[in-house]
Amino acid sequence: MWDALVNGLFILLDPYRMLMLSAGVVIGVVVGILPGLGGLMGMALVLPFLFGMDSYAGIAMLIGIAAAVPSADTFPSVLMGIPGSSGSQATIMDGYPLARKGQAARALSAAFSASMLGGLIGALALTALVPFARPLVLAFGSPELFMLTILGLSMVGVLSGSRPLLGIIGAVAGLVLGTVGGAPVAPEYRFAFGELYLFDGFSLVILALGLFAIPEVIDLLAKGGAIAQRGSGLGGGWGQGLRDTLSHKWLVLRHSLFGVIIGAIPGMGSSIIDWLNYGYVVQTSKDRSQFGKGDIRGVIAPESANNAREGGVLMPTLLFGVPGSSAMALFLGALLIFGIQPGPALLRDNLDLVFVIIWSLAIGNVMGTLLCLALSRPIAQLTFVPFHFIAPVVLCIVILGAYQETRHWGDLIALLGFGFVGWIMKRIEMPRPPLLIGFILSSLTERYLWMSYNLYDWEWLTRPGVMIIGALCVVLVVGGSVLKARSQTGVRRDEAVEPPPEEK
Amino acid sequence: MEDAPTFQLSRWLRTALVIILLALFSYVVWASRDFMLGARLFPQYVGTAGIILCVLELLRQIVRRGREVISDEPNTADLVVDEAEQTPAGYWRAARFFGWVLFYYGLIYLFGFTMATVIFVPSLLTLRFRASLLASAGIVAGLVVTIWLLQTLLMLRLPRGIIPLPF
Repeated sequence: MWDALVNGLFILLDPYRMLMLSAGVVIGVVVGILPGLGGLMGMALVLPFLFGMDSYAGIAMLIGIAAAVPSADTFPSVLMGIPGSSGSQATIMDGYPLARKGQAARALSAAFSASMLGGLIGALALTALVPFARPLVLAFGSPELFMLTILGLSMVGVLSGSRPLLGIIGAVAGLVLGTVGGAPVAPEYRFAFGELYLFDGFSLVILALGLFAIPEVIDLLAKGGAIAQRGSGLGGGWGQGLRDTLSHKWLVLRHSLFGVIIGAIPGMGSSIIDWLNYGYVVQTSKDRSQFGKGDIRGVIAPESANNAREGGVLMPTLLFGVPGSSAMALFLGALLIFGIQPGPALLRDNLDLVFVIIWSLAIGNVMGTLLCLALSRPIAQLTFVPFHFIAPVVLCIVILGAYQETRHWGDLIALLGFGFVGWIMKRIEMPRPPLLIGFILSSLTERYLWMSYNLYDWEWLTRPGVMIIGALCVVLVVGGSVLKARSQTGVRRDEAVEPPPEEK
Repeated sequence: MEDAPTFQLSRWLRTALVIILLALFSYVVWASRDFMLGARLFPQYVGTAGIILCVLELLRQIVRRGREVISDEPNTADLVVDEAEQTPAGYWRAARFFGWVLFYYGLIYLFGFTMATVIFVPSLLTLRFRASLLASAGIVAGLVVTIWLLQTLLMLRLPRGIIPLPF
């Protein structure tokens, strides 16, 4: 194994392959910065050019894209409050408030450093877990997968803040929205009203852009001025962001490993991992008063998990030939173009290639982070430009990004409709993240519940994995409520002790 | 503390949205009865849960009406809205920008994406924000080049209008 590890590095260090890896990173950064486009679009873009290319170079390029997107999609999330891709939705919750306080540099620096460490931990975990990954992935049957969706839904309570009932209603509305289109377990189209556009259901990208991007563009235009307050500067926080990440090293490690493990389960998309990690860090923090207002932990946790996830999704993709995500489905296609058959035989016959992939992931992460850091200063300056100059550009790219989903006018109508709903929700202080979580988990919850029931009747409830994850749900919900009550008591006590400003 | 005109509209909208959701969940439960078993169970369970939750929320709103103080319960689960934007004037300001977005959509429908952008951006900047023609022209030029690059390099498709144009 060690020989293959070193061989893999030397194979990748060939100048042409490194050039292709760099090209992949640049493409990944570009599609990551543009809202609505993501790794899938980047990989689809280069796929036609892979025919005839050196297999190691082509694979390095694809992995470069996969490694760079989760870092670059932080830009729109932090600077504009717009999800750069489906995997950067939760970063908005604290990254954007930091940018509005003039601490965009700190948020970006913390996000990129956490992303890089997460990506490296993901690559390391993939290396270490290669021999053990098979039993790990196989341990998750449909009942355990169903319980994981319940774990995701149990985060709704904590992500609803002081509006728990409205948040849960939002999550239920998301679950209902997710039922539109073809039923996952029966040959039936639901709530499609004969419209061809609705047969496939609504798109997550359009829902996320509608709920977050359109309301933000409208509100910033209505309010006038720039995103950040002039005079507060970028915060001079480049070093501060790095120090934040280092001072929360255990948080980075914990969420990176969480990202790898969840990422290794096929079907658990980046958006699920993003919200799970955000909910988890909020739930397990003693002081939760600053979450949603600009708590740096709310940036570090999802960002480290996001990049580490790439190491996880590669496990089922390489070991079983089961794509861990939609982008990995394209990656599998690329492997087949090169005549490489993924699956257990890959580890036996082509271990060098596995390590080329792992090295590409690690080096691509570092390159992506460095490129993002280099671009940060000029891009962060955008927060000080009067927003009416930026809004038309953002609106144009958001509409363009949404239209790429199915290239149907329905995309644009859905974007505007969800935008209006998101704007109303924001105004009436009905939390939007639960709606998104409900939507993301809807089809998975339905599919796994049905499969579990059909395969095991109700006996699946007694499986050890189900009971462990169930206990984790209870601990998170109950523990979170206790921590919340304690932190509120603490805040009230502090407010009682602290003298009013004029008396100081 | 509570400022009636500021928060009354938000509260009214909140009640309206919950009632709309209640109607939606009721429809989901009612419409699912004709589906096959596999397609019916999930929407029926979820819809029923939604109905119960909406009724609870409406009861909560009725019970707490008159003594709910929105500003005392900061929303930490979503981006915070400024108090000025919660006023009827703030709603009206935002609503006008929805009108601008609809105008953009109308232009896209008629002329396609590129031409719509060329008309919409300078209109918004000069008519609404009194920006200089030079700045508007610069932004439009930059956008057209960006659209062309995205279309060429990323092979993005643009929405086409009903009036045929060569771009």
